[in-house]
Amino acid sequence: MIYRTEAWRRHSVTALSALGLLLAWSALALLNGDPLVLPGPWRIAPLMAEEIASGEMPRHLAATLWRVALAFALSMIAGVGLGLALGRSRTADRWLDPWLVAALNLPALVTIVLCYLWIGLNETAAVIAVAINKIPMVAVTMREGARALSPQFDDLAAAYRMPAGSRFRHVVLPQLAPYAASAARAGIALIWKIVLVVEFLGRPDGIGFKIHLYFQLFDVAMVLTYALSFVIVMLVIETFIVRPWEARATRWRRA
Amino acid sequence: MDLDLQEKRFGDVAVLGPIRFSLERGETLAIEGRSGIGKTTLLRIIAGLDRTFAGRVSRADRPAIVFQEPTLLPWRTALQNITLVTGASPARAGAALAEVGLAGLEDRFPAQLSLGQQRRLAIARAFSAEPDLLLLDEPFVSLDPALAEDMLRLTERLLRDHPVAAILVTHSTDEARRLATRRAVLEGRPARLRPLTG
Repeated sequence: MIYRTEAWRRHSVTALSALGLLLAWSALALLNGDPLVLPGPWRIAPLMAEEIASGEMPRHLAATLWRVALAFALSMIAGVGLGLALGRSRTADRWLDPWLVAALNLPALVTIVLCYLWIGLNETAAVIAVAINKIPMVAVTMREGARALSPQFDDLAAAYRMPAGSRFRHVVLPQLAPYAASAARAGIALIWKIVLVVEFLGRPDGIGFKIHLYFQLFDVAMVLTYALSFVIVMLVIETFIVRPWEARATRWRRA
Repeated sequence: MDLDLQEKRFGDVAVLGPIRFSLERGETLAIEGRSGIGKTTLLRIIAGLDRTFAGRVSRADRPAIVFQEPTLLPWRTALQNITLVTGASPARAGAALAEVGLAGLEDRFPAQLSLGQQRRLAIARAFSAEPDLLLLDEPFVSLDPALAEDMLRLTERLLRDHPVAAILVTHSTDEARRLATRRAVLEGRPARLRPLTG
């Protein structure tokens, strides 16, 4: 009961905060007075409905989401593997740390342009460019997680001769879960922004492509329509997928 | 179980000298000795957790260990702490929990158990493995006297009901006398094992 009241209060605050943002936007739009520069929410909502009804927005949303999903999966798999190797092996860490620092400091734009130049203007280049930007960040977070693994549990698993798969799933992964959740959350937030840039620069569909198109037409209302639609989709993913998963993975902490 | 240890060093320091003994099923060897003498190091060598030593140790098929701390996976339930770690079936794990007085607590997470219950769970886990070698690394250390006595009685009963080859590392002569069929003390530098009588 206490938990429900607490959750209700949290949701109310979130809803009020979102409403405050809408009000602030409306106030600014009214103050500015020029809908070509800053249209209010009352102008964007019908545009969004039109684009959804025509099927145009779902098509571009799906293209972008697919790229986000692929790049996310690729960067998490590679980043977790690399981070674990770096955290568990001092030699690997010494050899690869300078590479990681260099990769972390490489601007996303450079990676995207180089991938398009080397691989071509295609889906492979787009997804790889996004993943390359994210892998070092996931690796750094997971390296911290691997360094924090308890030697006590290593001893337990070794003494009882737990099979490698079971050891990884039941002993190692749960210890890494908070780090993986943090990397995943930061990953999604970053990846979808980079995907938009990738689409802006070299794809024939997706939200980034549409933003590029309306940027050339100086259509602020449509730029906002597409940008906001994707923000809403990402918020829905965060609320209904990422948070429930995180809550389930850390259930034992609240027991 | 056979151990033929020549030497164990930490850097330039020889911690353990030549140590040799065998252990049969149903025997419990208590290894006594002051803190820091190398008891836990010796146990880790026997458990296969430390392989950087000169000598030879026979590998148990089904080893089990009770550490100084309960060392339970906090993210798994009491029952899973047994089944996942030892490979025991849920039925066998449930029976082991009942045997140590934890029936009905199968679905609790370790943080929902008292310290005494956590220790019982660690012992139930060890016996659920149906070990051919049981290693007990000062399992009653840092417990208050009443809880230590409770755990000692439980271990006495379990060792009686499940005869295994067991090694108990302790600094308490009383514990050694009650649980062991043979006693020895680790002493000297590098430390060696001297059999005790009486």
